[in-house]
Amino acid sequence: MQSSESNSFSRRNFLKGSAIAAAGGLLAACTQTAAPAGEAPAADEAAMESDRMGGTLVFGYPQKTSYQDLLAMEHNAGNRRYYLVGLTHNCLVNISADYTTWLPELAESWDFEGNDATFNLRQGVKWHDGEPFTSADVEFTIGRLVGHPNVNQWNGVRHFKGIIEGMTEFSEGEADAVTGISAPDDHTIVFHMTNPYRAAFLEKLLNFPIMPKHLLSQYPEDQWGIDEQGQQGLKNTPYAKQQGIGTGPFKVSNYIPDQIVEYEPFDDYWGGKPQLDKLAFVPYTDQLAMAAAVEKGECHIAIRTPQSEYERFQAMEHVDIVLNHGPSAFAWYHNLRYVLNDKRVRQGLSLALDREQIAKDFFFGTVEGAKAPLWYGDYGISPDSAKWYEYNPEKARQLLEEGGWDFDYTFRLGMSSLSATYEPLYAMLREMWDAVGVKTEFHVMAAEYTNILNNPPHDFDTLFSGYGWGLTPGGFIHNFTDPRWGDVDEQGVSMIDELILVEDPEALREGALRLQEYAADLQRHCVIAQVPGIHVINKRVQSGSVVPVYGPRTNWIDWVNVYMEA
Amino acid sequence: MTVKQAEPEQLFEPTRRSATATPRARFWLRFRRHKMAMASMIFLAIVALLALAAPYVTQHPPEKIHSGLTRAAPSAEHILGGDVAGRDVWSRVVYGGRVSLSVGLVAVSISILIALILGSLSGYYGGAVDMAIMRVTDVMMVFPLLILIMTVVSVLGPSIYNVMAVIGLLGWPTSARLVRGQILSVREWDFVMAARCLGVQDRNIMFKHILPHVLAPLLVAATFGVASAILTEAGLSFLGLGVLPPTPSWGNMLNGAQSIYILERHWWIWVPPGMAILLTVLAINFMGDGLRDAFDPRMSLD
Amino acid sequence: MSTYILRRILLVFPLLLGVTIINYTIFALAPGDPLSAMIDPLELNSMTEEDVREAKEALGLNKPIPVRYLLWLSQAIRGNLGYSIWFNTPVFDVMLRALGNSMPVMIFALMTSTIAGIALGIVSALKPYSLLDSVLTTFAFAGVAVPGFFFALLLIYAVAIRMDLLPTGGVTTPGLEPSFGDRLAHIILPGLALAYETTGSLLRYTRSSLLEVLSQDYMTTARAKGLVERIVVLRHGLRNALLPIITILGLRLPFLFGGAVLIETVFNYPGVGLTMVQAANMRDYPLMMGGVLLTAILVLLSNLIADLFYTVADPRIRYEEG
Repeated sequence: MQSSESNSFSRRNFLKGSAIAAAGGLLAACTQTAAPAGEAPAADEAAMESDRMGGTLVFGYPQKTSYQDLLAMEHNAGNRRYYLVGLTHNCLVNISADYTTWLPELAESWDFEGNDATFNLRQGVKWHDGEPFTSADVEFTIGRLVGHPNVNQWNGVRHFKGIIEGMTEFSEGEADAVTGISAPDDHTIVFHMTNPYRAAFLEKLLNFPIMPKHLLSQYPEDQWGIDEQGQQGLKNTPYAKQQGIGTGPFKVSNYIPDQIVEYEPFDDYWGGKPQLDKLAFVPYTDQLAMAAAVEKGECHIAIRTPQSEYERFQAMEHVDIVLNHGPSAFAWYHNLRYVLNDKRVRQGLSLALDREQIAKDFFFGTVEGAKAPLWYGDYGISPDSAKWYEYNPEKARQLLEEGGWDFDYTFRLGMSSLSATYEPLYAMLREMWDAVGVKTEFHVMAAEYTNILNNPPHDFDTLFSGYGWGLTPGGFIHNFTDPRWGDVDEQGVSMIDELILVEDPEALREGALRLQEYAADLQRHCVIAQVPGIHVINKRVQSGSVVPVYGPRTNWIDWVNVYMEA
Repeated sequence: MTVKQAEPEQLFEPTRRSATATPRARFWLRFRRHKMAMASMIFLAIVALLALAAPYVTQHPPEKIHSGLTRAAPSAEHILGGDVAGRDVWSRVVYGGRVSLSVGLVAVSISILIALILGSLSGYYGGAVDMAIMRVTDVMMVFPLLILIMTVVSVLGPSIYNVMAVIGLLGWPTSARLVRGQILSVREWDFVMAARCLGVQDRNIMFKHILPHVLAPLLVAATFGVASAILTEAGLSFLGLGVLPPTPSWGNMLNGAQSIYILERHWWIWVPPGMAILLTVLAINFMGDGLRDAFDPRMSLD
Repeated sequence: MSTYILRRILLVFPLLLGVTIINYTIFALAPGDPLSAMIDPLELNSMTEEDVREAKEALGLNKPIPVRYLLWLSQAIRGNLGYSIWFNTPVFDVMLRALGNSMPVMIFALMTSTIAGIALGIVSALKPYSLLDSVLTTFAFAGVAVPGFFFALLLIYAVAIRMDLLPTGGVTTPGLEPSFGDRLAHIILPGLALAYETTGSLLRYTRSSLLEVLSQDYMTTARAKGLVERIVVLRHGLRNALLPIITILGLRLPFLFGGAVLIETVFNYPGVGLTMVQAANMRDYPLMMGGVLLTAILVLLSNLIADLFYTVADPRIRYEEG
């Protein structure tokens, strides 16, 4: 059933696939992506080889700045490394495009028992250089690389501290190894956790592509750290600069930082040899340049294209558009230590915003205004319903007065920079707050951004920022704990602590709804709209069963089966 | 420049006539002959007047957002339509003119002042002073100006004042050289020698006898300087390192042209600031050209 | 002449030192740290204060500025400009790669503008005050007056998108075998955008200097000898009028680098300009410093070469110095 399903999907183009994925929901999403995982019969593979369509696909993404290297030890939402590493590397598990189903990747199956998680690894998987993939690679990646005290992964080890036993001690240099990881044999890996985490643990694994032990262990661990010039040792290795060897469907053939990464198909990929002859990732620093390249067919898949070009793309016959907004949004974070201490003031500020107008005017109708702090099917909850998100200037004014807002005070809106792209948005927000009597002033922190953000006294009243959350309620926890946005909110934290261990979907949904109501009422942050994901795909791009999504993984583009129509 | 007959008789006529007039009258005679310069001066006067009288020639504050005006086409109420945030484009062009012109004028005043001081010291005293100042000038001239300005602005953080200051503080070397060169030649003139022999103080010689001769070419250089400062501001704003919105400047208004959609369908968002920059800079250059010709009789053949 | 050349070459060294000092002074003003621009706002949300402190320490940003400068200078003298914080690569390598992309565009722009500027300048000077002259003058002035990035945007829209003649940006077409034709196709539009301003100034310069030369006595003599006007202009006038153009071309380099900042951004062309814009956005101080230093050195050298050429080309200087 699974394999026949996958074959029938494989020849359809993206949009058909996406429509079905959306309609079919949970089961369809599961079977589509899981199926290509090496289960296609040999005869089929031979047939595919004979009519391989091939071609060169150019993938464009907006990037004001460069990416660093090919060694990305973790995925990060909103980060270009995401897409690059998704091609060359695999994680233990994957998740379906609609965030509902866990899918096997390097682990074929897994099993939770008490505080232990056991993963049975796929056999016969090879690294790009021909070496076999084993449990030693997983042990090395999670057990040494991620948590190593010399490796300065700002985000990395945080995910596993306090979750895998012994990770905290190892990362702080108090232990020589992580006690909570063991590899009974070449194809089994066991994690000993501090609590019976389930989905929350799988979600952490999504962040970490498995790296090759045989290549990276060549570099002595005492050189992994930072040298006198601020260089991280590992990032200066041939591995990071040229090879980028993984187990993924494509291998790096040419890498020029800031200019291009070219890939060629990996013949021995466990999921079958990819159809494409060549794949190129091109960063675009200028949004007009990217839009122009899409229009001319120089760039075949462009992600996060500017919303201003949406209407033009719609009129073009040679492209399809996929609107796909992942779990990330634009939001104002309130600095609760200052003038925003009163909850009613924060609620008033939220009610003063006409999110629908912002969505229509600034986002060119490509997103909807936020209706709640959580979103579209996160944890299975509905996007509607939360209070304090409708537009009601009268009530806003009333709440501000009740909350004792000083109308002579000039409200300081902090932001990292005032880019031309977002300027109209800021202007609209300011106008709306102005309408309820709140005077505002922009406070562009520029180079001082991190200093101000991290060193009290935090010099802003409210801060505009991108905002993303995890796939399980655990990802939401920083909304209640981040010191920059007030003291820890104990009730929020305990709600999440409870929810993180919930497995029953219905119970999770109800818990998430309560969480949403609570967060909306608290208004520690005030969501405006989702980050628009307007992905444009040239119609020559064929076959992939699922659309590319701005989410934790790119593997939703069925990279193995994609080809270019002549 | 303008269409004229190149008959020698006619060409030399004004010069001959001007030989009898006062210097100022001579200047005006020559300047008026330069039709493009005259036209440009009138154009610039209008632009400057509009900028000064901004509150009186616009109906809406430039930062005010009107609901429904987002990218709206020109109408009787909003003669140049609305911009991407729903602000009145005409108001923004007029107020933006204030900003762009003042960036140009302030920046150039700063660099001219520095140039005047350093150039005079260098030219008048010569020797070690000259040597030191000129070496610094040489070094400054080696840096690609826009890259240097961009770098410094990004270090200091973008703002209208930083942009003015940085363009001004880094733009002086060419003018300083000009001042020095001019002083070097003037101080050899007989009347300066004579003044010296008569025991006139250094300072008096400098201010009464030498500087007036430096001012004319410096004015010409300053004129061109304003034009290039306006362009620099536009470039910096394009990179997000110039005048920060919502304060309008012609440069940051042009950011709208970064979208093909707007380029194609909403001409009123980008044509007005684009034309404002183009025409103003063009006019300043024509005027500078006219000034140069008028100040320098040798150039009047051009 | 040789002493002049020697002196001219020796002068380069104090200038170089001066360049590094000014470079340092500028960066000593820098507030904050590059780290702020290195972290994705999305990641930043989940970083603790401790994470940030560690990250700063790791990058060596906690050392005092003079120490950092001396570290940088001692390396720079040995040809090592330090490492770009963002690229994790020697600044020199980053700049060299960028320069490798920028140079063809600049050379194309310089050649195009020299040929077009001089040719149109001659046409203009031969028929001064004609209608053609007015048109050309306006064209030249517009080149100086239009913001370069704006002209580039219009070029992309008109030539690349509407007429579909040339690629919209980038260095090569991904997937194609590298070829001269493909490289050239990507160079033409940014090259033309970059060339416009220089063309305008050269046209104006050629016109006025030719007009001045044409009015000189020796030209009248040449005419009196009965030489054909065209020969008079080309043989006698042009040679003398164009000699200083060598110097002018030498002095254009800083403007080309400046123009490249904007034009490479518009064309998504990864050269020196785009690299510097990114360095500025990221506040990657080593890269910014290295970039400013390297472009300044290139300008210094191009001025030197132009000067030396001029010395060789213009007999008057030889006599003076000899």
